[in-house]
Formats: sequence, structure tokens, C-alpha cells
Amino acid sequence: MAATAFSSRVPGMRLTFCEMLALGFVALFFVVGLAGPYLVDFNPAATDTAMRLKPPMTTLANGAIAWFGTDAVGREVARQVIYGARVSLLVGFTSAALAAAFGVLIGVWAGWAGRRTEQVLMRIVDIQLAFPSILIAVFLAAFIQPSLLSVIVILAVTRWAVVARVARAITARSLTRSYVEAAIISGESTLRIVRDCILPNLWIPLLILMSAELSLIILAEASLGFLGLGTPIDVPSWGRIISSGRNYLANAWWIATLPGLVIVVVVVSIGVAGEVLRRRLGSGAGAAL
Amino acid sequence: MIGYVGSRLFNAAATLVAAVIATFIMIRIAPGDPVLVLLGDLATPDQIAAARIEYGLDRPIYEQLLIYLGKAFTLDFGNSIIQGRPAVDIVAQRMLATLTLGAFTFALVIAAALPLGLLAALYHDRWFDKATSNTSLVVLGIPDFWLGLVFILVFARWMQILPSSGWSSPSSIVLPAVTLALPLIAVNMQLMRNEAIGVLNSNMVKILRAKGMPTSRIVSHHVLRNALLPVLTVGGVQFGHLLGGAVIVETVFGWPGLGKELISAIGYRDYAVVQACIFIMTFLVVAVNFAVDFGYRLIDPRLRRV
Amino acid sequence: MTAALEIERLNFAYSSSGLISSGAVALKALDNVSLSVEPGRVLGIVGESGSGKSTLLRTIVGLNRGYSGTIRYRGQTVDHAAGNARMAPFRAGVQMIFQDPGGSLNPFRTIRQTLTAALARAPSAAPERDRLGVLLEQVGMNASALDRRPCEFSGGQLQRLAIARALACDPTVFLCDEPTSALDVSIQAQILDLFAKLKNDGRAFIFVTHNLGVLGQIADTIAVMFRGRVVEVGPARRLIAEPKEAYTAALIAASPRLKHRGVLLENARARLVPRASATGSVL
Repeated sequence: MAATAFSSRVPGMRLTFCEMLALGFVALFFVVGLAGPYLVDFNPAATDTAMRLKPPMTTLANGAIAWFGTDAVGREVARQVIYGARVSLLVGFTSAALAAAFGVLIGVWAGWAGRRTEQVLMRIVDIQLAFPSILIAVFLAAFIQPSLLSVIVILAVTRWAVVARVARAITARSLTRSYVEAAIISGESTLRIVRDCILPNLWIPLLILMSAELSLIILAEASLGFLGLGTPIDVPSWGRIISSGRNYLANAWWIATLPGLVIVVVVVSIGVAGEVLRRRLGSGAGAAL
Repeated sequence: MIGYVGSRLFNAAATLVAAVIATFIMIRIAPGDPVLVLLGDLATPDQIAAARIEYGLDRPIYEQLLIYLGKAFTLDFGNSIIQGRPAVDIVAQRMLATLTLGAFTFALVIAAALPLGLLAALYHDRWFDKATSNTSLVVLGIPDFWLGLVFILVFARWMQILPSSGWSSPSSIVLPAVTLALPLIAVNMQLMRNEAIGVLNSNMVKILRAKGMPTSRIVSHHVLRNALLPVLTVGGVQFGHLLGGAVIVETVFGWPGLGKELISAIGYRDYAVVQACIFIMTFLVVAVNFAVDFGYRLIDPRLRRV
Repeated sequence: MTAALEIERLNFAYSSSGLISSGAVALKALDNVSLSVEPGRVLGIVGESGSGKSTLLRTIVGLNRGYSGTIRYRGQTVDHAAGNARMAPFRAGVQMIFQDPGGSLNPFRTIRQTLTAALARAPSAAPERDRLGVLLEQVGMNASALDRRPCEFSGGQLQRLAIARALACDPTVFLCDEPTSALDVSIQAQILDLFAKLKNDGRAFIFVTHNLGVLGQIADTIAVMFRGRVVEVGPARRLIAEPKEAYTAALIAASPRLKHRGVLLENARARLVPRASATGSVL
């Protein structure tokens, strides 16, 4: 880590150079994922065999510079990465949101109901958590036709259990607070108590948790793409670009390696950003995890 | 203790049954006729007719499930449409390769993570600790399939000192094992570090220090033992991660294990083998979790009495 | 005079059961407890930790389900399973004050939001203007507190605000679970004065504490609890001056002087426990 620390506007909150760099990369990932396809063109069908397997920084026939080189049919790797960022971002966010919604629902239900309902639900969570999520994703993908939606649902299915466990713990702890008991005593409806007394306790830990989940989902999406179990061929994916570079390791190392480097930078940056988030939102929230 | 083992065994069995039921449901959800899903598109009409009777597809759905459960627990998953022999035989053979890779990886993880974690704890907040912490963070952000490709590129293509694929010589295991081990080393190192820091800051160690016991003795006699137990508890979960990683790493390195078999069977829509793989992998995860749980209870005297 | 709150032969047991084994391990927390409190009176309940005094309050308000016995509020039998329409008078009329200062205040909402919601539950929403200001005045606070959140107040202030929240429903009975234990001695006195004022308005109190000294100041009647049973009940002054039960005497002897506490209590317990298992109930 760089020794120099820049103090930010928030008192007691200092960002190191690396942290600022990470936040910058996260912002860049968001911008490219959202706006990239509007800024650069990429037509998967437009091949140019004369320009195939050109190393990075080559100037192409049309005068453009292929920053990440070209693939086996002459398409620019960098453009594929930009389009892949959109899928990565889309799958990451929708999967995380789906997993969060379902996990919170089950976790709060379990924590609220207690007794046997809680035991049964948490046993299911424990069983699922005994399996690595990539294995569950592969098991599910084995039977489902690959599509953008199925990838999103599969990855949400693999991540909800962690959320449910955290949500249950926080709900159970909230229920022992006097203000929740006071609300129960005064006969308030379950929905209102959950909305006013329990969910507010959940947002910050959930936000921190989901930042970690986001990077895990991005990794999982890339892995499924690599295994050929991810999004269909016409939807560009980081994992598939790397997979397509496997056969050209000997003569075109950049196809497999450079997109992977992008994944590493994005995932590590999200991890660092999550750490900054955790620090800013207070260690009390982190303790809940 | 017997009640505990009983309830754990019940859990393990329930998990396995749940996995089989989930597979059954997935086969029904999968588009197309379940028979074609089970037999593959190449099946002859005779085979289809025979399978309909064998799987009871003309009977009510719950009977179909019972028949399916019965078949799964007698390891009867049918023949592979690609290789033409019982799927369970193929999978049993592959399991050996995966377990070999797993054992080698575990040895690597323990050999690297324990000393590194201990060192990081002893030099808590010094450069070594910070460097390893940051490295761990980066390692955990690296996709394992990509790491594998980079290793192939560097050690097999450029330096040409290790084989890139298959299991042709003993050295074939090095690259897949290292790829699998790296993220696990990062996790376990941090775990070991945190536990060891906890023990080093405990009153017990402070007293031992005050009494003049040398650091080396404190570490070997007290810190190591107390820090190791919590690290062992997550062993079961980590085996699961190992198996998950194996699916990808075996595919990258062409290691003839369960993971590679599963992925290629999915590619060929060879569902007999897919089901056999899912069953065996679930069984392995469940069995290892059970064994770790049970073993942990035997080791930790605080839990033995419960 | 009808009792404000009356409980008759209340029994409650905590149970724990596993997922597979339904063999419940029952812990008897309330054992045939019968007590009552009239309007304008304070019933003090004293006992060691685990004697069941908090459980009693929690059972009365309906936080513990599966009890047996009768709870009557102003002569009417209370049925916690009944709908909100039937339970509304009880839920407004019986208010709980918790041990953690201001614990009943939702930390995410302003005092105004909390008090407004509580006022909405009051049986007759009197069209009085500035109810919030009046409420706060009653507990010795002023309107500047309204737009702040609980984290901005001190312990004593929070307990006052919690009382204001309870008061908003115009309750007949206050159930206080160690309401002063977490406060400084000087603030304790202020809160107790506030309770005394409310008592003079004709409100009834059940005041649970382990501190006999506090009860001596405020209670009219004192009940002593041990292991879920009421060991002795009587007028406060008499009970403190001439306890009839050895356990009460030991509790009184132990409270000002810490020195003999352990031995005296141990002896008293030893005398009580065998007899308790033989006869079951003292009342």
C-alpha cells in the first residue's frame, strides 16, 4: 500500500492511493458497462481474417488501434471486453438484487417466525452453504438452456443463502430490542414492524455484504462463460472471450490473458471499495457479518 | 454423543436425498421429453420404450420419484451414451483422479498457509503481514480458470518446464494443484493469522511471556494448537470449494477427474454421467462435512462432553 | 374497587425443542402466580435474577404465549389471541417501560414520529391541540426534543421520552421492568418522582426491580418472587419491617449490606427449596 494518504472531506475518513485507484476502477467499470456499447461499435459477425491474431497495440487496417489485440477471426479483443462489461454488470447487479430480495425474505421470515420454521429454513440454508456455489451453478446449468435470464437466476440461487443467514441473525437480534417488543405489545401489524423496526437494521450490513457478493457473482458469471454454460453465444461474456483464447495460447497469448486481467482489476477493486464502504458505514455494521 | 452422531447422519442422508430430488426435478424442468433427456437424442425407439417402463414414466409422479431415488441409491444411473458403459463405472474411475488432485492440493495448502499465517501473526501490522494480506485480497479476485491459463502460458509454453495438460507424468499434477491451492492458501492463511493473533493476545500467552517462556516454545506448544482448531472447522466447507474449483481447474488442465467429466458430459448431453457425477460429488461433500464435524468433536475436549 | 389489573394462577414454562426431537425441556418460569393492583397504587415485585419477575410482565403483555391462568384488565378477561379490535383497550391501557433507557423508542424514527404513532393508538384521540407538547411537558421535557432521534439524548432523557410514549396512550397500568436500574442515582430519583406524579393521577403500577430500596420509596404493596413463585406478598412497610418468610428476611438483610449476602441467601434458599418441591405452591 502506498504510504501517502489523502484525507477526504469526511472527517476520520482517509483514503490511501490504492483505495482511490480502486474506487476509480469501479467507477470506470460502471461507466463502461452502462455506456460502453454506445461509445464503441462491436459486431460479433464482422470478421476480418487479414487482421486475425494481431498483438496488442497493432494499428488495424481501418486505422484504429487494437489495444488488446485481435482474436482468431480478426475482431478486436478490447471491444469484446467492453461489451462483456455490460453483461458482467447486468448479471452482477440483477443476480445480487434477486439474491438479496429472496435472502432477506427468507431470513426475516425465519428470524421472525422462530421455532420450527426457523430451524427448517436455516437447515436448508446450511445444506446449501455446504456446497460451493460454482458447483450448484454447474449442476443447475447442466439441465437448463443457456440464456441471459437463466444465468441471472442460477447465480441468484447460488447466493441467496448467505444473505438469508445474515438477515436471520439481524432479525433475531432486532427482535430482542425493546422497541420491537414495544411494537409487538401495542399490536402493530407484522408488516409494519418488519418495515419500521427490522429492515432499517438490515440495510447497512446488506449493502456491505452485497458489495462482496457482487464480485463473487462477476467471477461466477465469468466461470460459467468459460465452461460454456453461461450466456448464449450472441451475448459477449468475459469468460467466453478467455475460453476462446485457450486454443491460441501458443501464438496469441493476449486473447486469454488481457480480459482476465480486466476481471482481476474489477473484482479486486470492488473488494477494496467494499472495504472502504464497511469502514465508512461503521464497524458496528461489519460485526453483523 | 450417539444422539449427536445420529442427528448428523440424518442430516447427511437428508442432504443426499434432497440433491437427488433436486436432480429429478431438474430433469423434468429441462426442455424436452425426460426420456430423451435421460437417454440422449441418439436413443433408438426400442431403448426409449424400455426406459419408459424402467423409469416408470407411465406411473404417477411420486412413484417415478421413488423409482428414481431407488436407482440413485443403488448407483444405477444407466449407461453413458458416449462411452457405452455404466455411468457409475466411469465416475468411480474419475473420482480417483479428483481425490488425488485434492489430496495433493490440501498438502500444499497446509504446508503454505500455516507457516505464512503464523508469520503474519507474529509480525502483526508489519510489512510482511500487510504484504501477505494485500496479496491474499488480490489472489481471491483472480478467476481460477484464468490463473490456470496463465500458468500454462508461463510454465508450459514459455519456460517449458511442466506439462500443460492431462495426467501423463507425475509432474502433471503440479500446475492444477497449485492453481487450486492458491485461493485456499489465501483464505487459510488469513484465518490462521487471525486465530493466532487472538491467541497471542490472550491472557494465557501474556502470562507465559511474563514467566519468561521463549517465543518459539509459546508458538509451538500453545499458539499452534489453539489456533489450529478453528481453522480445521472450516475444513469441510473448504473441501466443497476444492471440488467446485476442481470443476474449472480440471477443465483447464484436462485433468481426468470428476469435474472435467461433468463438464464434458454436460456438453455431450450425456445425462447418465451428469447424474452420476452430481450424486458422487454431493456424496463426497456430505461425507467430508460429516467426517470433519465428527472428527472436530473428537479433538476438541470442550465439545466432547456435549 | 375493581382492580386495574388482576392475574390469577398464572403458569408459564419456557420450552426448547430440537428439529427432530420434540422432547421439550420445560423450565417453569411462573408457578401459580396470583396478584392484583388497584388504580393509583404501586405493586412492587422484588426478587433475584431468574426469579420470574420479568417473565411475569412479559406474560401479562402477551410476549410469552402458551401460559395458563387468567389475566383481567379492569374486570375483563384478556385474550392475547383475540383480534386487534378487541385487544385495543388493553394494548393502549397497559404500557411497558423497559430497563434500557428509551429502549421502546425506535432508533430510526424521530421522537415526533414515535409519539404521533403512539397517540394514534390512544382510545379517545382527544382533539386537543399540541398534544405532543403537553406530553413532553408532563415528563419534564420540551418541544425541542421532537425532531431529534433517540441517539441524541442521555439515559435519563430517554427514559422520560419512553414514559411520554407510554403516556400518549393514556394508560391505566404501567408495567415497569427495572426502569431505573440503568440510570445514575440522582436521575433515578427524578424518574421515581415522575412515577409518583403519575400514580397520583390514578394510574396503577407494577414495578419490577431487584432493588428493595427503590420499592421502599414507591411501592404500596410488595410481592417477593423466587423461582417463579410468589413467596410473600404484603403492604410495603410491613413487609420490609417484619417479613414473615425467611427468604424475604434474607433478601432484606442482604440488600443494604453486601457482606453477609451470600451466606444468608444460600441458607434461605436451602431451607426453601426442599419444601417447595414438596408442596408446590406457597400462595
